[in-house]
This record gives sequence, C-alpha cells and structure tokens, in this order.
Amino acid sequence: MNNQKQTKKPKNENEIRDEYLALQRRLSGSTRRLDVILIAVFLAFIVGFSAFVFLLPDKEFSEQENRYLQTFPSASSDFHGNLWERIMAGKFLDRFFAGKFTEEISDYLSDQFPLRDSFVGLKAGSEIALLKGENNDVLLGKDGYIIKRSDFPNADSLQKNIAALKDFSSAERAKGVEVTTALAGRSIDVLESKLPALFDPTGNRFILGKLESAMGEEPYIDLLLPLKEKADAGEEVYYRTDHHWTTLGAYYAYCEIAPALGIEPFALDSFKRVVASDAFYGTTWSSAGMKWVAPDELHFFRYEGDELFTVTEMEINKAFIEAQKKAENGEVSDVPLESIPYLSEKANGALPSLYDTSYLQKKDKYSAFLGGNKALVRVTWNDTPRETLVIVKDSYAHSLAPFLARHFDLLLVDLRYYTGSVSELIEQEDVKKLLFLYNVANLCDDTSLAAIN
Amino acid sequence: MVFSSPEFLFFFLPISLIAYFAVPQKHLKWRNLVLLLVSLVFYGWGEPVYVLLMVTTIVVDYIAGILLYRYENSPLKRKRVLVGAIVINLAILFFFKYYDFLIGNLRLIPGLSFLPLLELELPIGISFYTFQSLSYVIDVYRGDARMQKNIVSFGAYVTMFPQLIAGPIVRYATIDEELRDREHSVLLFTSGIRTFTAGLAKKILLADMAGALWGYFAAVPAGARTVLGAWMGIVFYAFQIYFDFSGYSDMAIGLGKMMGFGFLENFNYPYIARSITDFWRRWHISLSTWFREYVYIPLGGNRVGRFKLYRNLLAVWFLTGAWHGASWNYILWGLYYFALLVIEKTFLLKWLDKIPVFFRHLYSLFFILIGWLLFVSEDLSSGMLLLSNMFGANTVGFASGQNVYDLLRNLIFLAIMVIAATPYPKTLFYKLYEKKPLFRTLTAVGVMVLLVICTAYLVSSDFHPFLYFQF
Repeated sequence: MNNQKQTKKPKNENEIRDEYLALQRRLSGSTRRLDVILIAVFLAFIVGFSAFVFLLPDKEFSEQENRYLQTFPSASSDFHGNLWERIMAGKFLDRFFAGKFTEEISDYLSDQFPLRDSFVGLKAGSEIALLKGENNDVLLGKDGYIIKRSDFPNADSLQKNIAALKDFSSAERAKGVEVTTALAGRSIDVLESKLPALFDPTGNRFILGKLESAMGEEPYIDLLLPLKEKADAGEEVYYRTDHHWTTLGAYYAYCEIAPALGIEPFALDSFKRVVASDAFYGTTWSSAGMKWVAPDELHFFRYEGDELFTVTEMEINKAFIEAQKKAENGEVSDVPLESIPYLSEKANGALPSLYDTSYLQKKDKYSAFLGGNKALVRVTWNDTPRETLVIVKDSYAHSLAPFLARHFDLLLVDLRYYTGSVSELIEQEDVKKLLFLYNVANLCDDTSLAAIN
Repeated sequence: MVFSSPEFLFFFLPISLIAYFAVPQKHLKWRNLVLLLVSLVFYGWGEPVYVLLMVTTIVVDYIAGILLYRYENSPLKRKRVLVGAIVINLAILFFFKYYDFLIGNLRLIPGLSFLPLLELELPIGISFYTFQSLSYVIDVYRGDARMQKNIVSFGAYVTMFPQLIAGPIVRYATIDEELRDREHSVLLFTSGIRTFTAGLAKKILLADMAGALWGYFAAVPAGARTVLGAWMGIVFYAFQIYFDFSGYSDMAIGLGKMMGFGFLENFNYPYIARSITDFWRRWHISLSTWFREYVYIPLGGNRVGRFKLYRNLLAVWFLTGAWHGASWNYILWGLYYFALLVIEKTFLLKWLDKIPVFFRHLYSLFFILIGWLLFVSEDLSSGMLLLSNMFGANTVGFASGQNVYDLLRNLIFLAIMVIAATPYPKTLFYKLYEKKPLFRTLTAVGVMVLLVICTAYLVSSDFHPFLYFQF
C-alpha cells in the first residue's frame, strides 16, 4: 500500500479545513457565481430525478431484465370500510409500521429510476474503462462474447443433485428402463477460447473436478468436450449474449446423444436453417449492462413435416388421482384404474408448435423453443404412434427437443415446476427410455432435482 | 435510511433541504425544529417504533441538563443527577445491544440454560447517539458546555441525521455555539456538496466495489484457498471498511456544512500511520476522543502509577472493542489493540523511531490487517482458517490463476484506492484550487460527473452493504 516516504508531517485535518475555508473566503468574489451554479445544478439533479419518478407513469414489467418492477407501494393493507373501521381493524398504516412500505419505496425508486438502463450501461462502461474486464460477474470476452463467471458454484448442492440422479437412475434401470444422462457444459467452459486473454481457465476446473468425482462410475455423456472443440474451431455453438447453446450447439449435442438412444442422427444438411431473429439479447447481456455488445441471431432448424407436431402442456389426470385415492382406501371404483388415462391436457395447454413465435417479439426470445419453461410437455407427430422418450431436463433441452422429436414422441419434465412422481409417470405411460439433460451450472443451483422420485 | 440509497439521495435529501431552507435564516430555532423532524423521519424510516426509544433518551438527558443547572449549588444532587442519567442511558444501550450476548454466554453455564433470549433487533445507530447524548450531560456537569433550554435544539443535536447512524460522534461542547447561532452561506454549502460527493464516491465507487471483492475471497471454499487470495481478501476488506466508514463521515461533514455545522474530521489517513499508536490517532477520531475524555482521563489517564495506567488502558480498549458489537471477536479485537499499544508504550515505539520509515509503515499495516481479520470474523473458525491461509496453511498453493487475473484486472482500482488513502490528492486539490481559476470550474464539473457516476453505481447494483448494524 502506501510505502512512500513521508518527507513532512501531514497537517492536522482541522488545520487543513480552516485553511481551506479561509482560502475560499479569499476567493469568494470570483467563485461566487460558480458556487451558485453548482448549488443549482446539484439541487436540480437530486430534485429532478425524484420528481420524474413520482410524476411519470409507473412501468410494471422490465423486458430488459425480464422481471416485474416495484410499483408505488401502499402504506396500508387492502381493506373495505371507512377510516374508523380501518383503524380498528389494524389496517391503517400497518404496512408502514411493519417497515414494508419503506422497503418497497426503496425498490420503487431504484426500479422506476429514470434512464435506469442508461445508468446501468454507464456503470458497466466505467468498470470496463478501469480495465476490470468484467461487470456484475460477466466477463467481456473476445469476438463479442460476454460470459458469466462463476469460479466456485455450490459444490454441495451439485453433489446432492447427482446423488439423487444416480439413485433414481439405478432404480429405473432395475425396472428395465434405459437411462441416459447427458450433461451440457457451462458457457464459460465451452467458450474457453473466447475468454479474456488474462483469464486463466484452469480456475474453472474446481467444479468440473467435483462433478467428475460425484459421478464416479455412473456413465454419462459429457457434452462439454465435443462442443468445446467446435467452439475452438470457431463455430458458434453457444450464444454470445446468453447462457444457452445455439441451435447449432444443440444439433451437435443431439449427434452426441443419439447413439445412446439407439438412433441415427439426421445430417446437418437435412435441416433448413431459418434466422428467426437477429436481435436476440440474452440473459448474460441483461446482467452485464454492456449495452454496446451486439445481439445474437436465433436460428430454427426446420425440416419437412415439422409443422405437423402437436405440442401440449399436460398434467396428471384429476380423475386418475381420485380413482387412485379410492383404490388406496379400499373403495371400489366404477371405472377400473387401468382404463383411466394417466395424463390429461392442461386447460389451454395446446402450444402453437415446437416454436412459439410470439416470443420473438419479446426480450426473452429463447422461450420461442417450446414456449419456455413448463412443468410437463408432450410432443407427438401427426397422430402417428411412436416410441416415447421421457426427458428430465432444464431449459437447454428446449432447443434440442426439435431434433429428438424427429425420432420420438417426447414427454419433457421440468422438475422445478413438476410436482408429480417421475417414476410413476414412466410406469403409467409405459416408457422404456429416459434421458436426463442438464447443464452443469444448473446442477449446482438447482434445488428440485434432489427431491426426484 | 442510509446515505447510499436512492431514497435518501433523491427523496429524503431534497425534501429535507427544501424544508430547512424554506425557514428564514433569522428563525434559527425553527430551522432546528425542521432538522429535528426530518431526522426523526430519517431514523424511523426502517424501524418506526424505535423513534420512541430515541425520544426517551432525548427527554431524559434534556431533563438531566435542566436539573444540573437548577442544582448549581448542590454538588451532591448534581452528582446524583449525573449518575442517574448515565445509568439510564447505558441501561437502554446495554439492554438492546448486550443483553442477548450476555445471556447467550451465561446459558453455556450448566443450570442456566433456561435464561430466555430476547432476539431484539438492534436500534440502528444506538451506540452513536447514546454516546453523543451522554457527552451533553457530562459536559454540562463539568461546566464545559451550557445547559440547552430548548428541547428542540437539544433534540436536533441528538438526532441530527447527517451523523446519526454512522458518526462522527459529535461532542456537545463542540457544537453548543452552532446550535444557538450559526452561519449558512453559499460558500459553506458548495463546500458541503464537494465533501458530501467525495464521501459518496468513497462509499459507492470504492468501498462497495472493494467489499464485493472481499466477499468473493471470503467465500472461496476451503479446498481452493491460496496465500495470495487470503491476503488480497483482507486487503480489500481493509479498503472497504476504511472507505466505507470515512466515506460516511465525509458525507456527514458535507451535509453538516450545508446546514451550517462544522463537525470535526473523523479520519486522518489512518493507513499512512507509522505505528499502532499513530493509527489510533487517525482512525475513528471521534470515538477515541470520546473514550479519552469520558473514560480514560476520569480514571486518571496516564498520570497514575504503572499498574493503574494499564488498568485504564485495558478498560478503554475493552470498551472500544465491545462498542463495535456484542460479540467476542470485537472484544478480542479491542484487547488485541490493548496488547499492541502497551507493547508500543513500553519499548517498541523507541525502537521504531530508529528504523527506516518504510519498515514502520510495513509493521503498522501488517498488524492493522491482522486486526481487521479479527474484526470481520464473527465466527472464530472462519477467522482462524483465513489467518492460517495467510501464512500458507490449508491452502492449495501460493496463488491460483484466478488470483493473478483478479490482481491484474484490479491494478488500476487498487492504485486509485492506495492514492485515495493518502493525503496527496487533497493537498494537490488545495494547491490547484488556490492557484488555477480554471481548476475551480473543473471542480464544479467534476463534482457533478462524480455524482452521475455514483448514481449509476447506486441504481445498477444491489450491493451497498451497511456495515454498522452491529455498532
């Protein structure tokens, strides 16, 4: 730190202050006008921004950050009645006294702050100008890539999730189900060639080592290396501004997984690449604040007949649950349990197709694949019965599903939203093939996989 | 409410300033009333109920002041009033701050585990305003300050929002005159804007960014620690706490200037200290002064025998540690400084005088850093782990690739912090300000630019920790 030699003793702070004030008095004639201007600008700044927050209409949702914003809070709870009844019911300024109002006012001001996006960009720019190379844990990489940095993800939770995955897999194998596990690499691992020059990628091996030892003897398809090779060769297999893989990346993953599922992957040139959007700003872009980074293109790999898919959100049939309860209580049901379908279509559960193009008009364009996160989705083709594959997955599967749907009927299960039993689902739907598809980053954060049953 | 929040800067501050200056200068008492009212809102913002607690303290000490005046000719009664006021003030402080700590430790004794914990939320800033209010009673008792007849002015002194929650602890005697009559001027106001902005920048641009890095290093899992990482962590923490705390003081001083008050400086470049004794003359000066004036000197100071001197020092440093929080690590931190200061007093200072300045700085910084390690480690095991890492134990190597990367990418940031922790920028500022008219214009522009950048950091990041909840 400060090792310079002190040639003379620094002055006492109060001496400095007095000198300073005396100096200012001497200068006051010439600086008076400047001082008045500074006060005016300072006051205009602090008054102006709050006036704007309170006068401008509130924004309810931020497309940019993909979240709901705090609108003007209320100091009292909802209550029907006059003021007196309100006071007697303890609903007068109760939220204020509980500290809720003030907390929300704080969120309100920062969420509704005028020019918020520009300020976010200014902060990112300042950090980069200081050569810090990253902002908000997002690295400014080469060739327009921005990459989320995460040196020490939660290894405990990773181990818990993998232990649950292994237990579940072996139980299902014992029942004759073919289980395949495929793990997608984190973008920071795949995009090693795009990292800033000074960044030492060996630092990322911490979690990869934990992963390897947690998997132990369990067979799995490591999608990291094959995709990293493609990335090293200059192919765009992960988005530049989002944590997901591109459709091309998903295609390569499909080729890696195919042998384990007993299928022959279709050749790359059998697909027609369509640029669905050339203005895709992903989640990494949102948290980086680096406004100058160019957007991604989002591609669909279309093929003949892919408009004939039926994609439906499903849920466990309520009639089935009732009959099951009756059977457990020893009551006799009018309809035998076996004849009731296990799954039923969710109300308004029909999705447009493999692609929900309405999302292309929004910020969250990746959700165009299968309409984003849903608890349980069934994909069938042209009313033709085919073998069913259950995929227990995170969102990386959404852009991969169109490839696998060319071979199988699919049941996609997202454990973050699906509360039913997966083994019951496999049994009731008489499925023989199960695919686990997770990204390693999600395996570290996820809290639902550990409870799989 | 804290200064580094949009609701303070863009909501509370403009409204308060407008209300304050809407009252004409000649009605100073009414300005004091505005100051009292806005300060109560400021304090009650997060925890409205605790305003009552502060009002109690104000009323008790106000009445004590009146009684001390009334019993002018009866030393015994005056003493009783003083003791009574001290007991009430400290009882409130003790109850809210130390009760659970005491009971928690007593419960470890077999047979006492039935004692109930209260788990009360600590009223923010209670240690600051209790000490401040006590200084009034003691100053009046000693005749160092006049009794304040106006409860509004007295209340304004205790609650004054600029220094309410993170100091400096303003002694009543230093501000007595200003409560009765003070000057407001354009000059003082602009000087206040500059000081406030400098403090805000220290807090938001330096302390919070350094704090995020400290957070990163502190969270490195046990199997991936390195020596360099441990040192970088504690160095970033040292920068965080200094710029945070002195930034708060600067903001307080700046806001005080805007409203015509001259608070004393609280920090005097502590990291350029050449000994631990020197460090404590430069760090949190208002707290050291308080303990010196109201504990150390009344106990006899250093004009006593050797044994009593050590007893006095021990008392002051035990209390200094405990003042920072009801937890063993703070007490340990206080006692650590007691030990260092006694060693310096006995012989080390004489030795230090003979060695090159460079080594004196190195010596001071080393022990200051170890001190911060004690200070920041609320649980002993994490503190011991970090300490062992600094000396090469429980590590996977001297430095990881990430450490080197993080060091290199933060070089400019570190250089800025090192320079900002020395007096050079300020002396240069004064020199230029006096001699170069263009520089004066540039300062005004610079202040606004800094304010805009601070705003950018403020609204785009949630990480603006308030470090003094424990105090």
